[in-house]
Amino acid sequence: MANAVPSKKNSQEEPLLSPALLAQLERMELVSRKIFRGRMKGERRSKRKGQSVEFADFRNYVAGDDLRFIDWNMYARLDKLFLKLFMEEEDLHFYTLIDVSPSMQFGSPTKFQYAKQLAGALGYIGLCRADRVKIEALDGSRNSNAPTLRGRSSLWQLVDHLERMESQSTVTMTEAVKAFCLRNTGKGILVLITDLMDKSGYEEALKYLVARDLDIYLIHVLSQEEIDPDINGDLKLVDCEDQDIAEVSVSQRLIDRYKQTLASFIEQARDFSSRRGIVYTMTSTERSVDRLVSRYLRQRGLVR
Amino acid sequence: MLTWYQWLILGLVPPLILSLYFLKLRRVPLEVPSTYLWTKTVEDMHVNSIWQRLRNNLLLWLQLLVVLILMIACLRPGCTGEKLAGDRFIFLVDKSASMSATDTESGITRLEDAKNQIYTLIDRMKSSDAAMVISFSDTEGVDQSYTKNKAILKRKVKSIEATQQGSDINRALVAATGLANPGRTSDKLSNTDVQVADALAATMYIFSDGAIKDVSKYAPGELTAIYQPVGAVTPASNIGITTFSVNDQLDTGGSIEAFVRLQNSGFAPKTIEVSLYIGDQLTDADTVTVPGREIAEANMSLGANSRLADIGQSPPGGLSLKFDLTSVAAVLESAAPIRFKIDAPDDYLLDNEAYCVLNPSRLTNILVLTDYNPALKLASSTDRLKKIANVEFSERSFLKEKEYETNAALGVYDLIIFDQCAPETMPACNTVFLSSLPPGEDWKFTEELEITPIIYTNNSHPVMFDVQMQSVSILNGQVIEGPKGSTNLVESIAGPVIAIGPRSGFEDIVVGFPMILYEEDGETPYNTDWHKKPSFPFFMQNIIRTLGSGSRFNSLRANRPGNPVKIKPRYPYEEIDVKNPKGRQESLQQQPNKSFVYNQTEDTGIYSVSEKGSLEVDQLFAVNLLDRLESDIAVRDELKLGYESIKGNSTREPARRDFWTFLAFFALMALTLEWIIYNRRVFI
Repeated sequence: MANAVPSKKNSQEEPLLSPALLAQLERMELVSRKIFRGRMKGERRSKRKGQSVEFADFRNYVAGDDLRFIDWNMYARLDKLFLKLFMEEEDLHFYTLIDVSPSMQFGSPTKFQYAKQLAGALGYIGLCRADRVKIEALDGSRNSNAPTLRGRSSLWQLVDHLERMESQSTVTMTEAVKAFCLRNTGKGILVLITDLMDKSGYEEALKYLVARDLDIYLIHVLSQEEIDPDINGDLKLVDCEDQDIAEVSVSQRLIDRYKQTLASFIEQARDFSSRRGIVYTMTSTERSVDRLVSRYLRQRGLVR
Repeated sequence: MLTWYQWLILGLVPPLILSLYFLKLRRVPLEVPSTYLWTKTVEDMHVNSIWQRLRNNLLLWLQLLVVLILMIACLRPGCTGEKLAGDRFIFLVDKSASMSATDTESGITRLEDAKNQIYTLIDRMKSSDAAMVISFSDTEGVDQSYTKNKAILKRKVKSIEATQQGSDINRALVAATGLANPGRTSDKLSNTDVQVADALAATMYIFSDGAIKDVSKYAPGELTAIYQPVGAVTPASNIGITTFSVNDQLDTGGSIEAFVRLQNSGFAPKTIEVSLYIGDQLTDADTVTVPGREIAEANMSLGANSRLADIGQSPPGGLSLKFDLTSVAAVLESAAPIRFKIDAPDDYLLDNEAYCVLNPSRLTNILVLTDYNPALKLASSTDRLKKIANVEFSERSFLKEKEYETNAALGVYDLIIFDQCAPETMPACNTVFLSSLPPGEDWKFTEELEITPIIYTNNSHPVMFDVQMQSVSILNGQVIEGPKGSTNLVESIAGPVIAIGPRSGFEDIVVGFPMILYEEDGETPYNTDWHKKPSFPFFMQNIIRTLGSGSRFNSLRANRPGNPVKIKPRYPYEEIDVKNPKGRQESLQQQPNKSFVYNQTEDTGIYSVSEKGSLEVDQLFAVNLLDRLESDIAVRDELKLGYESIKGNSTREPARRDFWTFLAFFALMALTLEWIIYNRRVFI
């Protein structure tokens, strides 16, 4: 079936991030529902008390504290050493995980291309707010070559990294997530872009992420041919990942049944996610990225 | 039929189809992102279960249906049909009057029954077969020449209508055999004999009741004749009128009698009521018993159904009736129709009525141009002749008078006898020349005769009925040579001395010897002793009856339906109207011979003649079928065509009529349906 095979060439000719989209993204900001500790000074308040001008609290002096933060006025009045604590403005870890299994190569544009566009768009929002942006492929490798980017000037690096990314991985999602969790310890926002088409199941992988206490967003990408398959006849369906074969004689009844199965699959994923505080968003490759970001993700509270 | 191992192989086909369905050999591979959902879907549907797999699989059921139909087709289902061998057919349909009889099983007319049989035969023709339709009564017509178009054939057969005419198959056979056996022709230039066309073998179906005159000359050649008798096998009882006439007064000495002959074609005698009407008035009625067909003693023991063979040998029973009409005719003022009717409904109604016309007497005008001929005068003035003829004697010089010219040209005379004289132009009537020749080159005297014995008299000609000339002596005379088509009536050793010849509707008789010699000294000695013999008055009477239209009753002329009728009105009208029994009127123009010819005599009954535009009836004439063969509605079981005798095919040759072609067609339809569904699977 010609329409089931994605046209890689066409989908890659499109620019990953259009200037119009970039202009729209510049006004946005990533929102975390939790306040995390950053490593570097950023533009958002941190749990950690630091050196900003915003006063936070006092505490008793203990040996070893920086003498510069002792409140001498307080010592004069009360004859006790107190230390002034200030709010620290910190940066935010923003991780994006892209499913790079071969099943992502389907659809028009391909789910993989769509995922890269989405990751680029969200990453750019992070860069504009001086967050620590890292986009990783779920390929299960121990040493990720994904750069950690900060600042608007890193946009070209982000795009370059995305364009070099390929979908060839055959490792299960669980393994890949596990490898990610071992490599990265920072807290922050994590966006997982995947089609969830993993026969070993996605639940284990999500549990790993939940255990990391990250603010997790799951974006479930499906192509149109998965949502409404346009096939007929007696077919031997070959799984592109494990070459598994499913023999079907397509009939309207079968198509209806498939749609029911897909709907229950989505419902299951949404249910599983919401139980664990993961924000679940299902999208089709037919829905444009800017629309997804500006409307659906804003509704979900990822951006504002 | 198939042998056991062929059946075995055929029986293996359905299991093979089923196994192919399980193996699913023809699946098209398609790469998908994941079979995860599909597998779940398929598991949900339990498609992997064998019976689930077969359930709702319309394609499989259709394929099994195709095989089932083909297997049934191999069983050769069929029914008893009629064999139709050959590839060219000629359907000869009898449309004569007797085909209107309704003695068929379903009560329709024989002609309709024959048509239905032909439709069946047409349906059974192969698409490459050609057929031809010829219908015949006493005339024939090729309704449709050879065609393969069944629709046209059926339409032409449907358009055949029953007539009220007799049947004569001769010319229809000529038309049919002519196509099957084309003649040969010689090329004048090369002097070689060339076959104009290949002989085409054909099967000829004759649909008739067998009431046909036997055919004497018939060379079938490549033609195979099959006779399909139409009508009841057991001869139905039909009383028919075969003769109805009013006698000639001359023969009965003044009394007028209507003569009727009834015929019973059944075996049992039948009592019927008959009535005779003059105009619309019932004049006479009677109850009579008509005896049945005589059965040969040898066949007495056979049942009615087995008597078919007897029909050819035993004539139908008959009864003659006479009605005296003298008193009625005496008070008759104008022409009156006479109708004779049988009051007994039977299978064949056309012969239950007969018609005749009693015209008021019109004296025949005869002019005799002679200076002195006592024998002629004597013979023309008998009491019998006076009743029918007005004989006028004139001197020969009357020829030159104006009155003669006018009367002769207008056709006032019916007959002119020229005694040793001749007009300049021939009159518009029949003539007799005594020892003179009509003007023109047609008639010649070739040789002088002296005392010659007469050796031959042509008594078969109506003019010479009962005229014995052997004892007649002739002193002087001349041998005659007549025009083309003339008939010699009396011959001497040297040649003909009396001859009759045609002249555009009229007839001329030339007698080669005079009765009386007009000598220069005024003596008139007899040249012959004929006037002393009884043959002379007979001759005169015959001449006046035959050439002078002396018949008083038109019914004496046998007007049969379909035959042209020559009408001579009482007055020389330029144009006349003829009204047929159904009331349809037709105008006729006068012919050069002062008479009229009417052709539209399809219907039996009384036709009336009047001057154009006038309501006054000039004369009536009757058209009757009166055919013994047609009234004998018993179906003959064989036809005699030449030396061949064709047995009726009444018990049809049984033959298989296969239905496998229909089944093969259904199988093809099922296969097409399957193909359509396969290409539009989404609708399953």
